[in-house]
Amino acid sequence: MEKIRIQKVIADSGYCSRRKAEELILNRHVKVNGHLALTGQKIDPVKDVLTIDGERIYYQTKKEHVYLMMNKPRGYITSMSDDRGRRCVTELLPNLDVRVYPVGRLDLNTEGLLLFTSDGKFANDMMHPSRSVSKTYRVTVRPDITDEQAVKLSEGVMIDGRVTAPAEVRVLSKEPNRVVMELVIREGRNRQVRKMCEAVGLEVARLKRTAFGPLKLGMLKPGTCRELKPEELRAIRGAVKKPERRRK
Amino acid sequence: MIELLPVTEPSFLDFLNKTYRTDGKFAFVCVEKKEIKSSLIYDVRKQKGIILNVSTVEEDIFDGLVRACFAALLEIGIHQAEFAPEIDSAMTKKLGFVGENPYLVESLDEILDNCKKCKNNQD
Repeated sequence: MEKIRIQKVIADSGYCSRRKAEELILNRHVKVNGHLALTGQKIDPVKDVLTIDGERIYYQTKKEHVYLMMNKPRGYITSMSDDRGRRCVTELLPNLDVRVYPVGRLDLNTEGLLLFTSDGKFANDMMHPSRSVSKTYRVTVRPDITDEQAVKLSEGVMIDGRVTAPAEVRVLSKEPNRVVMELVIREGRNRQVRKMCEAVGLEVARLKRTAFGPLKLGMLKPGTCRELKPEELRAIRGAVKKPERRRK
Repeated sequence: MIELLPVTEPSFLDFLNKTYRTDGKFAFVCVEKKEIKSSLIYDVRKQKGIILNVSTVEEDIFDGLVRACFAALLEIGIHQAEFAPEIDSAMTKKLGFVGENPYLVESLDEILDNCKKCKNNQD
């Protein structure tokens, strides 16, 4: 079999991301045929014996990748495990033969669509800011949103020292002291929607991600998962903006 | 001070239509301390004013925006209006804009001539 870079083999196995794999290699956790591995080293994933902290890692071909959609409930953290004993989204996953990882994160109190996959490249494509995959949120805010605040949200607001990219804002319903709106963003900054709302003086009462690119949460029950359909996988791959090639 | 102003900037009208999922050709905004607080989006179809969205739940501002719109409709010779079903019918009824039909405003002239709160009509 053709030799492949070691960090790609690790990421494709679903053990961790490519970046995390590089860290593991640098921190001397990874061995190939009993010898410490080097970053960028190419190995034959079938013949060579790859271990991380003594655990054998098996290479997976693309056919074996798993793609799941979860309706994350509030009160769960997006993490594989938590040393503070909080509930993790992984507790809601079905038993799988492969190790899957969340694609991006949703805060403890945010609910809605969360993707999981064993495919490191897919996860990277979905999360990378240059790929501009849209994320749609249903946001309940208090007390009321003025049109000026809606303009600011759509044009971009300063959070963490940088202005956010333009967003789409749609007001779905207005009641006294409570407004439900739909916000579409194309970045994935930490707690972005909450920070955007705070920056314009709105308090977020409830936050739910309803779509990820063309994938829609639909009627999936909170706390449950389902596999992506082949047409959904094609659609989400098609929605990923191709990276621009540098001109010489 | 609150001002009720017609929207003259097409790009802002587009923004309002996108935000409130409407397709109106006209709008009024309520401005307070140079900040746009809320808006009313409307259109004219078949000799009737159609109020597509009112983005406030504050009674006084709602009332003011609707009256500003009605006055603008009368100026162009439109004497009837209709509220879109999405608009809070409890509010439109409470403010006396509609009667038995919860959407239809039979006579804009009557509404503007019989302002309950207007000091001129209290004598």
